[in-house]
Amino acid sequence: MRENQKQSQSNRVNKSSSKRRQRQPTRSEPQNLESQDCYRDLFENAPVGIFHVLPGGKYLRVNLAAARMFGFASPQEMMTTITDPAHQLYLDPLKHAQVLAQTLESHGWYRTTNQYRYRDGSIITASLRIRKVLDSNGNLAYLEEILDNITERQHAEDALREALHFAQTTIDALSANVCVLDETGTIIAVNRAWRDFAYANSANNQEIAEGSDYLAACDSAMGRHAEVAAQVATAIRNIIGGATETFSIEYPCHSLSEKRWFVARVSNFPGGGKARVVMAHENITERKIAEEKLRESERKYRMLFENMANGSALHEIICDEHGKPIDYVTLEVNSEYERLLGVKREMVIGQRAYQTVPELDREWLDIFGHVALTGEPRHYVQYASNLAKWFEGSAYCPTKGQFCVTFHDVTERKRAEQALADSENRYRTLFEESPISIWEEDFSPSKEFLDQLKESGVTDLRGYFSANSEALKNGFARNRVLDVNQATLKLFQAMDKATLLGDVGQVIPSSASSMQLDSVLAIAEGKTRFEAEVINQTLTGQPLNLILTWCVTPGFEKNFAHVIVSLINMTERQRSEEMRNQLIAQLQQSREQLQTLSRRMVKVQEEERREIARELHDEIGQWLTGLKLLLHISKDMPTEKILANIEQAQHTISELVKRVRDISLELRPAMLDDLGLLATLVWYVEQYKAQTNIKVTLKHTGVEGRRFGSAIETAAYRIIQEGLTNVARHAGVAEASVRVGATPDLLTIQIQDVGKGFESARAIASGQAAGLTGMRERAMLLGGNLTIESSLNAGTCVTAEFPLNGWLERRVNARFDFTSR
Amino acid sequence: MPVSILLADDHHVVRQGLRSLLETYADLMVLGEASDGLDTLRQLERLKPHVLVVDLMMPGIGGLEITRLVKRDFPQTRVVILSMHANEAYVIEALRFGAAAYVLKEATADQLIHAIREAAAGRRYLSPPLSEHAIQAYALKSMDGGSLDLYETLTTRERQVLHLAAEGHSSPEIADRLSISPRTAETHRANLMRKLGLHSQTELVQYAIRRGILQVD
Repeated sequence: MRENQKQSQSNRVNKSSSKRRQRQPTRSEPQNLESQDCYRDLFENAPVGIFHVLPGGKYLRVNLAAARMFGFASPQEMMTTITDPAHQLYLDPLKHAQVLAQTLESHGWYRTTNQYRYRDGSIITASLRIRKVLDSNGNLAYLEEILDNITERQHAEDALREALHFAQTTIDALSANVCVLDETGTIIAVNRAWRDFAYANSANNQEIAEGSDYLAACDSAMGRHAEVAAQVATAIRNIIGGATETFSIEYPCHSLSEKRWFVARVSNFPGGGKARVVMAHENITERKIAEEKLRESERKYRMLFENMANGSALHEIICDEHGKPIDYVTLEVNSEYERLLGVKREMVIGQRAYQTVPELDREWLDIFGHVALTGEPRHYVQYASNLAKWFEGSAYCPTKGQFCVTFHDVTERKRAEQALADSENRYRTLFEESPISIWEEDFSPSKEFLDQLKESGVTDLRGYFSANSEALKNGFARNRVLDVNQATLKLFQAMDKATLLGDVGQVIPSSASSMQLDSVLAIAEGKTRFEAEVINQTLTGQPLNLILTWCVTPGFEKNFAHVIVSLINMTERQRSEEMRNQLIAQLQQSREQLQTLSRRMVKVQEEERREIARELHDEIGQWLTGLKLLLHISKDMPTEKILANIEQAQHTISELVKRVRDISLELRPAMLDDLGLLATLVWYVEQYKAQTNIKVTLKHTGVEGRRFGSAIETAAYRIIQEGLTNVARHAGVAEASVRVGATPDLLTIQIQDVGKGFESARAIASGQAAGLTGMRERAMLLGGNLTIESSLNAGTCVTAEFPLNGWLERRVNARFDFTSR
Repeated sequence: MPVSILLADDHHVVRQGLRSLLETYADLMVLGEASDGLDTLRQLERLKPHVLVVDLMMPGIGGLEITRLVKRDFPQTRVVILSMHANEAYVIEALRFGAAAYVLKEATADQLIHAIREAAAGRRYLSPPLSEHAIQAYALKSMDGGSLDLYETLTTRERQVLHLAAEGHSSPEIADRLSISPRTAETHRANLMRKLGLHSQTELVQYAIRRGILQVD
């Protein structure tokens, strides 16, 4: 900056001087004057500093450039300020003396470079030319110094040197072996590492030092590195040719003592100028070994993963736009996973689980979503319904959004557990639901007490306990009740189990002391089974007649810690005998009823026969008698009379046929056998309407074209006939409904009216409704059932059901199946 | 060519009467007689008559069944049913089985001859007082009441039990609600399921939903 300023000032000086020079030709002055004037002008305006100085240091003349070079405004200012140049201008005052001495001794110009102090104290460098100027007498007039400021140049040179030094130091500091090649492939620079490596590894290091032909060395390489060398050479040529910019290759270069790897990087030398190539070999052994180790460890873990006894897989969760898990993708699975889930790696990797297996349980997503999103590991035992397998495993989150599972098949264990639980349940049920009162008790207090007695020398236990009735309390009453079953609660009328659990003593009355004594003696003798009759009482004080049995659970014979006690209620047995007597009485009653029924059936049959006999005699007989009379034709009867009689007879026969058909239909319509239930009912209902003027709606389903067997069809027909007859007789209505419906198992018929009704129970009980009873009996004879719903003024509905197709048998079988299960 | 005829009736007297009646007509020819169903089928096989005149009421295989078999196995033979039943139900059944003519036993000889000739000519004939019109009216009438909904056959109690059971109540709960014994409730439940042809609680619920007893949102 300062120099620039100086420069520009000096430029201005130059310009002004040239103006002055233009003026000069207009002056007419004498030649010497002109020459003197010219010199002065030169002196004043020279771009270099010029000093005329006496050897003592006094300045005679100083030009403007000189003054400016040192920071003075004018030559006058400089000349008045600088009185001692050696100390004021020279950085090294001694140098001033040397320069002076040299100048005085030499002829012509003495040249040197000096360092000076600028006015503000900063240092400038300048080249100095100095000579003696003699006067006409040959005596020293003064010294002429021409000073050229070269500070800037000096700085630039220093910087360049510094830069070169820095570059070399830098590449020397690199651990990589670096060389720079020129466009012919000749090495023009190498770094320290290169040299060191060459020195350490190669006998003929001159081949690859500066000046050697690297390309030729590559081309002539032999042995294991020949291939790498060839590739490097090609790369160098490509880069020199401009085809590529960089190239790198990793290669092994093992010495006898160690394994080594290198990476060779070739790149073009950045910047313009001739094509140059930077070649660097770097030792990457450590990285390579680390990589190798990593690979090895990866291989090991992969082996571990693959050969794990557990199924294992890595998945990534998929969420919807609200961040809620909706599915997961499989990233990796091991072979056990394939085996456990029955899939092939190729089928699942990259696939979405629920897309591939839509029936997959949603619980998996809950578990895995939680793990993948919260990072909390989870242990799970879960049933996979699509595979009918149980899996136990754990899931953890290696990185957010992913989860890793390891699991194994615990189906067998689960089944075993289930079987165990089932079996436990079964026995628990057996225990709880047993009709006999069962107690689980702990007799070890008894056993311990008896052992103590034995140790203290008591041998006659019976005598001991008889003498010490209190001792029985210790001997037996402290035994513990562990559990009781439902029958026990019922037997003792206890609200809950808790009231019976605890000390045995609280449920044994004094009346049972002999049982207690016998029990204790049995324990003392080491018996594992005991039976006695005992009188106890319920918690509410009702007496109980019991047979008590206890037996030690196998495995507890030594300490009696688990004993099963059962109580059979004899009180109940006595009561059941009474019940049996009652049943016998009932049976007798129904037998009598049956006899009554049989008698009635016989009576009904007799009545029907009498009716038929009457019909035959009164109706048919009369007709036939008449017919006989009509056809009694005498020889002397006129022909017209005979013809008239025959005509009359034909008419009578028609009537007779009609009457016979009616009677036969009434007895039993042949149609029922020929056409079945539905057709007969349709016909009957028509008849019924015609006779009674009651409109009957017949609805049916499942009966058309179907036959139910003669017995059922007859019964159904008769019940409907009877029902409709009742409607006509008692209901007092103009409408009735008949419904017939059949499923594969059951035929249901129903006759309903909305008439007067009656109190069904009373009607049947009073035996008034013989017709109703008859209907019910018909149904029950066929394994069926008949319900009468009626109440006064609410109409009557008779429903009868008949089991079909051996339904009863199947029902019985089904029941057996059920119990065996 | 005369119409060939097979007569089938279990009464010998009737067969004789018919044969002597039919033989007075030149265009009719009785090929044979059969006395029961099996005999009829054998003779049909052998004689392959144009017309079979058969009694509706024959022991063993009856006239209706014979008609069905003829229709199936001897389609070229026309069946004329002789019946004492003027009941439309029989007529409908006979026609349904494929009879060509239905003649009452009380019909006149002329009507029978006419029936045989019509049948042989491939036409249908019903002897008076039967008429196509009456038959159709009857057929309609028999369908009058329409189809039965099995639900209607349930007793009031059974309906109550069905509703409660469909809502998921157990038998003891139902018993409690209806003030009946649990066993009775169980019996009702078993009964109604039988009547409706249901076999499980699931089917019961499905039925209830289908029938609108249970509202499903």
